[in-house]
Amino acid sequence: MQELDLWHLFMIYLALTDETVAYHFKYVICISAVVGLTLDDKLWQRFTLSIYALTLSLCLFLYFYTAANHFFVITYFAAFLSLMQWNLLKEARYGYGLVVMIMSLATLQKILSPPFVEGSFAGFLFLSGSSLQALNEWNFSGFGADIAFFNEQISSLTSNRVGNQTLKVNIPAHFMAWSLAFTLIIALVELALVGILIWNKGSFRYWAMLLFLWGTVFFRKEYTFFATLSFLLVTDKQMEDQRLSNLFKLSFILFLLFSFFGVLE
Amino acid sequence: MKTSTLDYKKWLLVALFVVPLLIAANQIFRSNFSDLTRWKGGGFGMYTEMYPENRSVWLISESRDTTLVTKIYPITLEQRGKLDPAMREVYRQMRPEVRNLLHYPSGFNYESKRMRKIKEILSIRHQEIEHQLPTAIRVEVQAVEFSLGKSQLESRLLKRKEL
Repeated sequence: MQELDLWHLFMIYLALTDETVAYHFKYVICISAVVGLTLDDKLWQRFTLSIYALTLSLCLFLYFYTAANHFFVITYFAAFLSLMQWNLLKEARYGYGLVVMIMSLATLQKILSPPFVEGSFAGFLFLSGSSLQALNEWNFSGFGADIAFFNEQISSLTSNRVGNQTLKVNIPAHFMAWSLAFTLIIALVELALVGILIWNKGSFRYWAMLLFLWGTVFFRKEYTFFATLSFLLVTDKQMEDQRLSNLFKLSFILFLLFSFFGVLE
Repeated sequence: MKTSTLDYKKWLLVALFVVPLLIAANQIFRSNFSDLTRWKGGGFGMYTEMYPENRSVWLISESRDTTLVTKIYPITLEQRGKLDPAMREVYRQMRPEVRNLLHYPSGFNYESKRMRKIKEILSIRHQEIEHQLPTAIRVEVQAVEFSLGKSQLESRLLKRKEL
C-alpha cells in the first residue's frame, strides 16, 4: 500500500473520530479522501492534499487550546505533504525531523514540569489506578494504594466549591520510592531515545522507536498519537529495510484499530 | 534565477520546522508563567501534570446578602437533569466553550457574545429567585493538584473573573 493511500485513510479516521474536526469540515475531509483514494492522478492528489492542509489548519486555529497534541503534528505533516505535491519544497525527511522534535520537546517539558520531577504525577497515576493497576492488585512490595479512597478525595475537591483547601492523603510505605523510580525511568528512556534518534544512523533507531511505541502501550493508551508517530516513520526515506517499513505500517493500522475499538482499556 | 527558486524551497522547509517550534515555545511560556495546562497548546507536554479534567468551573451570582452557586464542569447527566431551566440554558450555551475555559482560564474570552448572554440569563434568574439585582456575577475555575512530598491533595482557586 502506498503512503498516500494510508494518509487518505488516516484523514477519514480523523474526520470521523476527532472532535477537533468541526461539524462541516468532517464532510469536506471525507469527500476529499474518497476522491484521493479513487482518482490516482497528480492533479487530484494536489487538490485533495491541499484541502486537508487548509481544513486542518483552520480547525486548529479555531480550537487551538482544545486540540490534542497529535492534531498539531498531523496538521504540520498535512502542510508538508501538500507543499510537496506542488513541488514547493526541498526534498527532506520531514517526518523523521518531526519525530525527533516531538520526542525532544516531550522530554524537555517533563524536565521543566515540577509535578513530574517531584514524582507527584507518577504517584497520582498509581494512586488513582490509571497506570499499572496490576501492581496494586498484587500488593507488590507494599505497593497497595487505596484507589477508591483516593479518587473519592479528588472528586470531593472537584465537586465542591472549596476554594483553597488541602486534604491529607495516606501514602503507602514504599510509594515514594516507586514513584521516583518510575519518573526516573521515564525520563531516562526518553532521553536515551532522543539520543539514539539523533546520533544513530543505522536501523537500530527504528527498532528503538518501535520498542518505545509498543512498550508505552502498556502504560498509556494514546493510540492516535502512536499511530501518528508510526505514520511519520513509514514516510522516512532512509528506512531501507522493507520489513521495518511493513512493521510500522502494521503498527499504524493496529493503533488506529485499537483506538477505534478501545482495545486494552 | 535558478538559485532564487531553490532558496524559496529551502525557506519554506525551514518555516515548516520553525512554526512548530514557535508554537511549542508559546505553549511552554504560557504553561509556565500563566495557567495554560501543559497538556494542551501544541508543546507536547502531555503526562507532565494532573489532567485538566481535575479542574472545575463555577458560575456565581451575588447580591448584598445572598449567593447563588452553580457548577458547570464537571457535571454528571443526573446533575444536569436537576438544573433549573435557566441554568440548563446557561449550560447549553457554555458547553462548546467550557473546555477552552478549563485548559486556559486566563486566555479565555470573557467578553464574547455568548458570555454576555450567559450574564444576562444569570442576572434574570437571580432577580427571580432573590427578588433583587445581583451586585456581581463571576466565573471561578478551581484546580486540584497532588503533592507526593507533602502527601496531600490541594485545591486552589485558579481564576476568578467578574463577568
